[in-house]
This record gives sequence, C-alpha cells and structure tokens, in this order.
Amino acid sequence: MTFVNHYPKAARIVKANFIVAFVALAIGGFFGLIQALHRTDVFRGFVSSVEYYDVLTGHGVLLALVFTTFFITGLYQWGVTRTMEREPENSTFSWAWFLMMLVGTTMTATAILGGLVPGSGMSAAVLYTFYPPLQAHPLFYIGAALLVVGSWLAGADWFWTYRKWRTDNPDARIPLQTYMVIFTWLMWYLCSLGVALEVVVLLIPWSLGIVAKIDPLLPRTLFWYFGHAVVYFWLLPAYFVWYSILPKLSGGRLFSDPLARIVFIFFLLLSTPIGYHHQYADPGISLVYKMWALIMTLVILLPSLMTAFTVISSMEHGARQRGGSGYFAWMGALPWGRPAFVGCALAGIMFAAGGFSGMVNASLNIDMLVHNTAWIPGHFHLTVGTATALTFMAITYWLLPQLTGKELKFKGLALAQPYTWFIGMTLMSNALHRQGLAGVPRRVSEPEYAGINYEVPFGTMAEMNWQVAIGGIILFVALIFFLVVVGGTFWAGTPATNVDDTIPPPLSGPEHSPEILDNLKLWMGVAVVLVLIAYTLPLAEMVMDGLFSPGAFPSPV
Amino acid sequence: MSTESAPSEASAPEADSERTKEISLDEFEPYGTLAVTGSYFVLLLVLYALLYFVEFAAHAPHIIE
Amino acid sequence: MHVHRFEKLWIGLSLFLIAAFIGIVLFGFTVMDLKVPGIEEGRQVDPTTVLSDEKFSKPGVRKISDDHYEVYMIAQQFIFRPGSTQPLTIPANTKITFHMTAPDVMHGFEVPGSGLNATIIPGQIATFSTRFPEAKTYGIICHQYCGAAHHNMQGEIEVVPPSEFDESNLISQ
Repeated sequence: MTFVNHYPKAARIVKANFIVAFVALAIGGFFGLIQALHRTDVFRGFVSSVEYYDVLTGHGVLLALVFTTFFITGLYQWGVTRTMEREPENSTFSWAWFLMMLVGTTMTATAILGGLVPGSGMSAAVLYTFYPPLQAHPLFYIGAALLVVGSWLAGADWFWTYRKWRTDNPDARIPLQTYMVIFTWLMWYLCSLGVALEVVVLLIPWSLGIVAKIDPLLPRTLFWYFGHAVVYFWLLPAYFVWYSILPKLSGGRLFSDPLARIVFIFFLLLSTPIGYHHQYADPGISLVYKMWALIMTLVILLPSLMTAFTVISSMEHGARQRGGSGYFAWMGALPWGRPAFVGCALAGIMFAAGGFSGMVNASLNIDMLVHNTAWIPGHFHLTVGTATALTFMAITYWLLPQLTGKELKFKGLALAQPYTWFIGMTLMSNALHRQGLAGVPRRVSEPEYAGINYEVPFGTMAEMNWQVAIGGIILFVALIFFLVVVGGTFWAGTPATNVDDTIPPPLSGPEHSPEILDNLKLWMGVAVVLVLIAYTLPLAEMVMDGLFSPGAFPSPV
Repeated sequence: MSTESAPSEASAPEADSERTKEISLDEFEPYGTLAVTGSYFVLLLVLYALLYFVEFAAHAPHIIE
Repeated sequence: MHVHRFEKLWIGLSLFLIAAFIGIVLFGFTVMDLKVPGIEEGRQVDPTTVLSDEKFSKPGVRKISDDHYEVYMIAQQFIFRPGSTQPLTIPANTKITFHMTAPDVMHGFEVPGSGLNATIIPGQIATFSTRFPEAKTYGIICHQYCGAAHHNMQGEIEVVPPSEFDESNLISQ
C-alpha cells in the first residue's frame, strides 16, 4: 500500500502533470542539443542561423516555464495530499487547472514551433524573455497567460485543502511539506502578478493590434519583477526535496525543521523586490534602485547558505548512522549506489558552483564584465538546469513507484543518469563561464564575429567550443536515459511489493520553533510592503508619461 | 511532516537496513558539515576576490561615471 | 528554538561573506571608479522620431574639451552608427561620454572582455563615460537579441594616440 492506493485521485493528477513535464523536457532538451552543436559551429545542419532563435525560444519556454511548472504542480500536489492526508476537495476543479495549463502550453508551443514551419503564418522567436518591441504571434502571449493563471488555480486548490485541514486541526503546526508549498505559492502569486499584468494589459492588446506602439522599458521592468523571483519558483521545489526527502535518502533525518521554515520565509520576503539586478546595465532605472537590488540580492544569499548547512548536516547525520566518520571521509558512507540520492547530491554540488557565479552576477559593477555573455547560461544551467532539473529527475525515481505502484525499471540506467548529467554539465558549464569572461555573448547563433578576437583568460576558444558541444551531447544522452527509465516504468513496470515511501521525523521538529513562523498573513503582508517600497516609484514614473509611451512600433519575429 | 504511520505496510526500506546506529539530536555534532561549509566559505572569498580584482578591475576600459 | 552552535557560527560566517561582497562592490564603485550606466535626467526620446533628433540625427563624435569628447550612437537592426560601416575613431586616454539609443527594438552594447556594457532601449538614452587606456582596435557586439540577423550586428572602435586623432571628422555642434 502506497500513495497511489491511499490517494488514487491525487495520484492521477500528479502523473498527468509529470507526463506533460517530461514531454516538454524531451523536446526542450533536444532543442538544447541543436543549440550546443550550432553555436559552437560543430554542426549547423539542423536549422539555419535564423531559425536558431525559434529553437532557442522553444528551449527556454519548454524547459524553464513548461517543464518546471508542470513538474512543480505535480510534486506539490503529491506533497500536499500526503501531508494533509486528504484527496483533492473536488477532482473536477483539479483537472480544470491542469487542462487550463495544458491548453495554454499548447497554444504557446504552437506559436513557437510555427516559426520552424514555412508558410504556417505563425512565429514567436522572441526568446523566453519576449522583450517588446520584438513581437510574437498573439497565441504565444495568450497561451503564456493561461499557463500562469492555471498555476494560480492549482495553488487555490491546495489552499482549499489546507483550509479544510485547518478546520479539522485548529491547533496543529502546518506540516513541513505543505508549509513549503504554501510559501512557494504565496511568493508565486506575488511575483507572477507582474508578468500577468505585462502580458494581459500591455502585450496581448498590442499583439492583437488594438494599440499600435509599446514602451519597451515598462514591460521589461515588469518582466524582471517576475523574472528573478521565478528562479526561486524553480529552486524552492528543489529545496522542498532537499529538506524533506533527501535526509531520508541519505539514511538520516532532517537536522532542523524550524530553520527550513525560516528559510522559506526569507524567500517569500526577498525574492521579488530584487528584480532590478537584471537591469544593472539598463538606462531608465535609477542608481538608487540598482544599489537596493545589490544589497537585497546579496542578503538573499543567507537563506541559501543556511540551506547548505541544514541539508549537508542532515546528509552527514545519515552518513554517520551508516557508519561514516571523519571530517570529510563520512561522505563515502553515503548511498552513492542509489539513483534518487545521487541525483539530489550531485545537483547540490553543482548548485554550490552555480551559487558562486550567481554571487558575481548580483554584484552590480562586476556584472558589467559578464552581463549577457555566455557566463549567464553557464550560471543558470548549474542552477535551474541542474540544481532544479537534476533534482526533479532524481526524485522522479523515488516517486514513480509510489505513483504507479510499479517497480522502477532499468535501475542501472537510472543510476548512470545523474553521473552522466553531472559530467556533461561540468564540461558545458565551465566552458560557457570562461567564454563569458572573454566576452562571448549569449543568445546568438554565430558567436564568431569577423572583427573580434576574444582574449581568452585560460584555455582556447576551440577547446571551450568542444567542451560545450561534447557536454551538450552527453547531457542529451543522460536525458535519453531518464526518458527510458520513466517510460519503461510507466508502460512495462512490474507491480512493486515493497514501496519505499516513508519519511522519518526531523531531529529538531516544529515544536522547537515559535508559532509566528506559521503566520501566513503576517509574512505575506511584509512581503507586499517590501515590493511596494521597491517598485512603486519606478513603475509610477514609467506609467505616468502614458502606459504605451515613449512608444516604438512592433517588430515581428 | 506526517511522521510515517504504518511501518507494517510501509516495509523496511533499503536505507534502514544499512543503518548501523541511531544518532539522536543531542549526540549529533556535525563536524563534517562545518568542515565542508568552512572550505566552501574560503573558496568563495578567494574566487570572488580573484575574479573581481584580477579578471574585472584589471581589464580596462570601464565605465567611470 | 534549537540551533546548533556550528550552525550559529555558519550564519555568522554567511553574514560576514555578504558584508564582504557588498563592501568590495562599493569599494570598487567609489574608489576604483567601476561604475554602471546611469540615467540621463529628463532625456527620454520618442523612438519614432529620434532619427530626426537634434543630436541623434547626426551620430558621431563631438568635442567638449581637449580631454573630453562625446559620442552619439544609434543602434538599429543590424548596425551601430557609427561603428559598423566605418569604425568609431576616438583618442586614447581621453574621457569619452557615450549616448546611445535605438529607433526600433532593444539592442546591446558590449566591448568584449571589458567593463563596457549597456542595454540600449528604444525611448531611453543609455549614457556612460569611459577612458580607453590603449591605442588599439576594440570590438563592439550587440549582446541583446534584436531579430533575425542579430548575429551580424557588430562594430569596431579604433582608439588612436591623442596626437594622431584627426579632428576634421568631428561633428560640429
């Protein structure tokens, strides 16, 4: 008896979300392979250098928005159901938000893929950031809006469950997994409001031709109001796994439940009012707000550094219970033969490296060295591309038997997959970082320029290009491994007899923490105030001279 | 978190069988974590300073105002 | 609340790290003059008419004083004016103030491997000052995706010794 037996309705919803996520991962991952080979001039036969931007848009949207969102809604549905110990209140409502997200995704994907089909009359090569005046087909924006609104309803579904649970348990502390879901989604409501306003109020009317011109700075600023918090929307579900499941996979228990709660409060408060750090190089944003972003962004290191300690110590607890000892030797006692553990642990190691390049990005003036260079994709392929994506893949190995009642298929392949991903990403990401230091731009199909000699700090340009290309191929192989394991388990898995689905209680539980940590209204209130401080004046200035002015004409791509 | 309820049907996960001892909150001294995070701290400071002063500040031109 | 003494130590170290990074950045900003593009006060432009603007209709180098020149530059799909069809020529070791805007979509301005980096946004003027220490040729890359031929958008800055700088090509006020 496991999750699928106790909560069959929820299990079906989780599986549906995961399937959409993995289809997006497969297509988006293949696009990534095309880019790695094209950019480096190893093979330019898949697409032209113009179509490259359609593929790049597909890669960004399908992975950063679709794969993540659907996996997260699936994972969080699982977490809410198991800790609230109740099925969704109304299955029709749950399927409604899922379908809304799916319809939105299909519309957006159609607009993007249309750019690769000659004569389709559709295209959306606006990249994942869709900065106007570059203009996509209206379907692109309408679909994106549906995806976001669908995710809002998913959150409403979980709040509904939580309210019912609260009625039955008036004095209980919120179970940790539901606590993390709630705080992630409070942050998500707050930040995705920016992109929803951008798309619904500005971009949809403009893409339909209802207004002729657009002020590029306002939507760009609204995008980054959302665009940095969204990285925590990707990261917090990985933290959810690292805090609540990884200690158990390591053979130990979570060191501190109260600190996990404090960390999630920090992210709710600080994720959104720091979006300006993506606009350090922009005109039209006052230095005061760039300085504010510098300080707040570096302060948000704190919850991640605290997470490092709590998660590593929980793993150490497991290692010592398994007989490990010493200052560093205990790591050898961890279960390096289990795919779910290995994936989460390697994702964590890569996140430590990605954390460093993120600290550089956050640091105002040194960002001028790397802004919009290959350093940036080098950075976020360690964070969202590994800390998040590899954790999601790894935990899928642990969740699938609970969701399907079947044994995981191809366990050897599942074990090889995180190691393979780690090797591929090490090659690709170190080379992208170093190319960025030399000034090689990101988001470009042919980064070799006739008049430009990049001065490479260490290594050679050819060597780095080969590392990107070979790394991309290895990552794609790891992706195939993952899909084979998941597909094999879904369609050819044998019934499981002993499903491992237990999670031991934390060493230090919620009873050791003040109840104020669970005060949702208080923390949401503080978060809103911080956002108002950060954004009221600049947005007011941009809006006062007219919502669409100074306006530029659209440039369809 | 819902502390797991039914050990009878939840089976004996592999992780448990490889466990050699139970370490309680009071006994647990995470020296290894201190060593790992301490090393990370030093690495961050050194790499950051190198990148800032050697890679960035020493490569003019810069924006000076 | 139970917080282990090692964890308290780690939180202390983390706060130190954050303070150290903020300190280094502010030291660089104020003492070493490592800055970022700012706002040109009150200078928004209408992208649809900027090509007939007083200054931007004649992009190029203007002289302010013997040690200070300014450059008005237009970035548009898919060239820098000046920069792409002919190099932007300026003197070394001299203060140069850039003013850049775009009439169509967003562009980027990057001198690879240096600290010169700006987003060029239609409706806004990207402004910063710099000094090129060496007389040599620097590249310019548009690092903000701007459409189908984005990868062809590049330019050159030819920095010459101040004694060899030919003032006959300056734009008169």
